[in-house]
Amino acid sequence: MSLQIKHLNKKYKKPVFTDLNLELVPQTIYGLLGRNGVGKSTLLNIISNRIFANSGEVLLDGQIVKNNDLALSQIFLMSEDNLYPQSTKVKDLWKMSASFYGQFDWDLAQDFAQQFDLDTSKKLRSLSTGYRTIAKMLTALCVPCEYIFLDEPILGLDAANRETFYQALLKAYAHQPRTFVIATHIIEEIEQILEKAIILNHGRIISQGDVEEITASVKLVQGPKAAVTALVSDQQILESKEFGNMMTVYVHNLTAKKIPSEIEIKNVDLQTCFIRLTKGEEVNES
Amino acid sequence: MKVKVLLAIKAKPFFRHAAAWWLGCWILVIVVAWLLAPQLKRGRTPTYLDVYGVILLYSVLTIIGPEKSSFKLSLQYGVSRRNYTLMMILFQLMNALFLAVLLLGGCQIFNSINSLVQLQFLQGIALQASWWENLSLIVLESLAYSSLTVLLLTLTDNFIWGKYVLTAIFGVWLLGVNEIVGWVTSKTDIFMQIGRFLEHTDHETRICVILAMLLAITLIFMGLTFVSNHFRVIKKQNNL
Repeated sequence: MSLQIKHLNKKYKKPVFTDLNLELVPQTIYGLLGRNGVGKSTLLNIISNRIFANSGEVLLDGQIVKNNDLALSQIFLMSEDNLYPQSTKVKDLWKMSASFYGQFDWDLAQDFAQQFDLDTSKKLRSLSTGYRTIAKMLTALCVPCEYIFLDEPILGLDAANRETFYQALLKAYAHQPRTFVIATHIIEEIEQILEKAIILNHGRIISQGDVEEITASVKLVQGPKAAVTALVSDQQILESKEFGNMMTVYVHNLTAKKIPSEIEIKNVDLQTCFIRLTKGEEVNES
Repeated sequence: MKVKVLLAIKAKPFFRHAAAWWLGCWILVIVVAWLLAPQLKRGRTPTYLDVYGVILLYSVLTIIGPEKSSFKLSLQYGVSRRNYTLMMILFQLMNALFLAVLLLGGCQIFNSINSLVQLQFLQGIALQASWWENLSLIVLESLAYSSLTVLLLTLTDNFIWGKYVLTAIFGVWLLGVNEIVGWVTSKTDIFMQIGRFLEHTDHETRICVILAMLLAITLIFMGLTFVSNHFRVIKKQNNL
């Protein structure tokens, strides 16, 4: 059951996406990365039928998702916005979710509630920002949907609760493998649990694939200025810095075969890769 | 078939939520009516505002309340716009029926306080009109208010400020519309004629006509809801 996005166009006053194409494969944990305002939430809202695209399609298992209750019953979006009635108790929220989706995982929910020390008899209104996020996030982890989209799931969570969330996510995934798509800015922390990543910038996907593939596509080249300049002269430079006679360059898809001994080439983590790719694109465009 | 089952499952929490709203609205409206009664007892002539104020309160609360929260829930739980619209139509049909029951019940409450109060209350709209004339007028016009509320709400499409803006619009509109309604009814006499027909016909025909009126109003609701939901555009996702 794969989810495909075909030729998606969306504009408010300015275009958000232009001919966006994407495929989300089953039982995979994705990271949806992008700088502020690139359209991550808009994309998730379109997939989950909350807002409509100007053109293009979202297909689940070949079926159009838009206004399709059966397809939508396999998609759950936990968004930053709180769409639940504020006077609802957490346990009632779960009952409501169970009545909508059927097989709500009560055991897992209770287990997670204990781990997070969440009082399920409290109303959403009376919970702190962090605990409200936890309540929504636990709902998302326990609904029986094939595609779970988490938009900023760790907003307002302290470091300890973020750690618990990562463990809970993996536990939920192990318990029932599904596709999780996590849109977040805290890339450094989440990198370890992601299998694949999608990097959005200026309304289009600039990189997608396995996290290892994406990180391997960006290299840090360090060494004497002259040697580095000669090596990267025909490469796609994302960013360069000079320190006296030394030079540091981030290169995308390095293709040089012979690396001089005085030059050091390092791998980068996903966050560094993301920053360089998104900033590098702006440099290249300008 | 699967879609129907799914709709039935998904509709349950909506109705439960809406029922809580309705109950709250009923209590509020009865309290307002109760507070109004002593004033009427003291001989103050009831005005359009007395009657419409209660209806307006009921209409705004019962339409905006469930509409606002149900739409949010439909977004959260992936209910298609089509099925959401169907559910809202059911809400509105039930709302219209509840309103009719409320008005009939309200008459009994006033009657139990003072038979003269009931007479004055109902005759606030048309002093020489009969009980049936007044009731049909109240029901029809309150449903018209509800329709307009739904339409305006869905067109404003901002759940945070929409209801306050709407309440203000209604407040101003109400003052002007009383005169217009009064003028129209005096000229066309349509509501009086419906009322007179109901008064002089047999009980079965009377029930059939009222049901037909409710059906007609429901069809208007359906049209309005379909049209307004079709044009519902979420301008800013922050307003969801």
